[in-house]
Amino acid sequence: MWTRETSAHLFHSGSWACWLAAAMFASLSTRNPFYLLLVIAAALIVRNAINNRQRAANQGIVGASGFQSAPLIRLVVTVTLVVALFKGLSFHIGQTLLFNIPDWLPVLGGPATLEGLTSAGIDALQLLAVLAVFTAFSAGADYYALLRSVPAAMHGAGLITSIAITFVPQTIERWSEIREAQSLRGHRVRRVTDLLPLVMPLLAGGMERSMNLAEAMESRGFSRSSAKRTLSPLLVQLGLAGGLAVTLAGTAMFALLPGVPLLAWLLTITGIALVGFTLWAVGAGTTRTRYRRSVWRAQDTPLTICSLGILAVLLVFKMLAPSLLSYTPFLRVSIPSFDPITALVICALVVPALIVRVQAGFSITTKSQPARHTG
Amino acid sequence: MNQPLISLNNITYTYPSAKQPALRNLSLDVEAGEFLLVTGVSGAGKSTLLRLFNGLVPHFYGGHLSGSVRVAGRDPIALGPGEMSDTVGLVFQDPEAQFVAEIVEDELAFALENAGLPMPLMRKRVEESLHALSIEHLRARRVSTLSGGERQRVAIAAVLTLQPRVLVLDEPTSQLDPQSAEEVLDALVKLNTDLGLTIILSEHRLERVVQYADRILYIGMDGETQLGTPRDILSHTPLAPPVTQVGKLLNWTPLPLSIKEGRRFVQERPPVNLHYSDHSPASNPSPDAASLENVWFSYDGREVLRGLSMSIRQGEITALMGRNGAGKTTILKLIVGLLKPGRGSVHTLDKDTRHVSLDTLSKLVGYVPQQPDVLLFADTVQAELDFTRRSHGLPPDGAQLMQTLGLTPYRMADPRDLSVGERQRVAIAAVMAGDPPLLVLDEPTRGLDYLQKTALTHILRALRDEGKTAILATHDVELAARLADRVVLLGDGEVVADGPAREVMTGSLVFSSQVSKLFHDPALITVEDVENSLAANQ
Repeated sequence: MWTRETSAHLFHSGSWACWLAAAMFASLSTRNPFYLLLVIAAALIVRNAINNRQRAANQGIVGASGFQSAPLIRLVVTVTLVVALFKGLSFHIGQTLLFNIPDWLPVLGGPATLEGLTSAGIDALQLLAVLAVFTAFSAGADYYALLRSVPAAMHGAGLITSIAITFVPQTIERWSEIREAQSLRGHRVRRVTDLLPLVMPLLAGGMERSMNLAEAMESRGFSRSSAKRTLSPLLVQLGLAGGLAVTLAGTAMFALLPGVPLLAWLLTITGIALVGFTLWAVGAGTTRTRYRRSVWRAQDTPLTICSLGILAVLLVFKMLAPSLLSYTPFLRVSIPSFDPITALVICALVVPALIVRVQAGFSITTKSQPARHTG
Repeated sequence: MNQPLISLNNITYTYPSAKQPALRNLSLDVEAGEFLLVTGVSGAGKSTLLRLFNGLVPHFYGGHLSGSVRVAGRDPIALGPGEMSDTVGLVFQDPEAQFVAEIVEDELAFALENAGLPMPLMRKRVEESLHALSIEHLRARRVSTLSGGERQRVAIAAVLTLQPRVLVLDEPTSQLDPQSAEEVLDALVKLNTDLGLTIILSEHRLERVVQYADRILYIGMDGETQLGTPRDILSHTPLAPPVTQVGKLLNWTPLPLSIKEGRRFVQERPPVNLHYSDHSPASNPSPDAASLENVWFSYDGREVLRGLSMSIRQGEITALMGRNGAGKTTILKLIVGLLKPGRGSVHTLDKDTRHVSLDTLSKLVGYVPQQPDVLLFADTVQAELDFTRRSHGLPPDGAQLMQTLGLTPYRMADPRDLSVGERQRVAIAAVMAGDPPLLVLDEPTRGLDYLQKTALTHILRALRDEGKTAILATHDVELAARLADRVVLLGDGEVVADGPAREVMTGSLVFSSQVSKLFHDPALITVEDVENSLAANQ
């Protein structure tokens, strides 16, 4: 089978998805702050290793900067910490009173406890762990390869999703340009109405960029499909709108009618299935070929085995010994337990960084070997 | 007689809710293998015409269209852009806006995968396109790491994979430095001459492209069109590259289209009535408006400036020039205080930008970014000016400024309804409304035609005459030649040349104006210089 292999990405999308699954499970299955810190540390090590490797590969290339993700990460971290502080102060449960907030303050008014702040801090830590895992995943992800692995019938929906993902950094960059330019006009945000000079150019620019991309894709035959149309446009619109409405109704029932969870689940799953079926029906019959098949390389096997191993061990811990991963600061805050085996399992998430390191070492050794001439 | 490859017959097109048609009674035949240059003033309908060839107009925009179009025997109005994609390839101004994939080779394969072509055929097509544009070495690169010229060549290769018979390009070099633009144009000439590909290209910077065109279609503001050989058209239209304008002034026949043609006249019939006069400006004793002292700056570990030192004096117009990525925008952002130096110091009007707030600097500096649209949000031009003045605690005003910038007729107009050049002027007015002594402009001529550039030149000169200082980062050598008192040439994060514009441009191979390349005389770097010299000798 003829294949085209990409050298720009380090791992096969399948093995990389396995690592994501393991790291996400580690982030979401524990509330122990020690383990969450370990997940964050492992994710940052992986991210840095991949970025350094890519930076080394791009050395000497003019303009090889790519998207600067630092401002976005800073923004998310700040928002998370502010929300956590607000949440912590609004928890009025716990035995260790820190101070009292006047009752006339809505939501916040009441006793602020160490337990409340600790619980909110753990929530924030969990969110930051998820963020760290995603930034590491993004650093090494080949979204286009992931898109290729989507069934042909769902390709249209997948492509739109992947384009939407690429719009996020562009929108953030645009936002930053607008904010800089307006601040030099003396603009400061003091009230909600002050956001208009920032939001209006952002929306106008976003619309313009969408139109440009749509034009370019149209001009390259994106809408020209060899598929036989199975659904009329009206049915497609009805299917999507109906599916979303049923999903919304189902999820609303969880909050509004908690007494009938079965019906809520049924509606939610039916809605999602209806949206999925409509999208599948739109793309059904599409003839789409793949230019490149992702190649499973030597490093993908250890990464997959290790990731699945971490996932399996944590799953077993979660099911058979949930106390190993859980922690609650209520009613009185205490030092979380620390199990070295669990910690070791989570630390194994750094495997991609080790692989990158070994590869870099191998590459240097190979390059430094003198050429051997024969004959 | 051969059938033309493209035939437009009596086309009139009006955008939805527009009062006036964008194209009016347009008829045109284009032969197979022709290189047609479409030019005209901004807003004349060039982009509309280009989108007609593959059916984007009217399929994408709606509106009312009458007349008929045939491209290679097919009707784009009936078929639409998707069906026409294997006949007409369309490349847009901003290559980044058209990329879908992350890796160059994937980007090239995108349209082929969509068309469901078998793998061996895709492989062949991708390889041929890479080869045709000489970008084989870029195949595994991420598009985000490519230079402007490389990106545009990738964008062209991406549409070529569908093997169109016509390649249509909408200002493909407008965002590129001279060298990158040359790379792209060389590639297009090769496609045209070697492969016989029909090329239709719109461009404002005629000096870059006119020598390659077989014919020019000029669209006037009133919708009137003129079609003919470059010499015919340039001899009687207001838009012409500097070398041709010099040819007109000196009665050179046939009119030169390129430096090579012009130089022949200079060598064979030296213009005796052009005399050298010392135009070098007297040394400017003014204090510094901005100074950078041993500045180092890096983005994400990549060094952009390496120990750069330079100063800009008050009351001057200084142009920063250099290739994409040379550090021009970084220097501007350091001067206005949006960036802080990693090492070294930056002083703007005697204020150390490391120790002064952006609020303070915003009263001293007006900053017009690359895309003026990021500034504009209000419903009227007047409201834009009022917003800046209010932000600086000043009472509403701006009548004088609007008059200087020629915006008085548009005082109550919505900035979004104005042309690119007019929006550029509104952006300048919006930042100058705070009356800052220093104006900083990043690539101010993107998308502007010759007439709009002339207007911009007059505006900046008027501001300088009022005692303001202007710093602009630009690729536009012709603008720099006409406008700048001083040119700072940057390369790889360092100052390569710094001095009076006439000296720097005369000494540069790449960053010099057409007139400078023609005469190699510091006294003659613009068409105005030639005019003045002739007038002085009469």
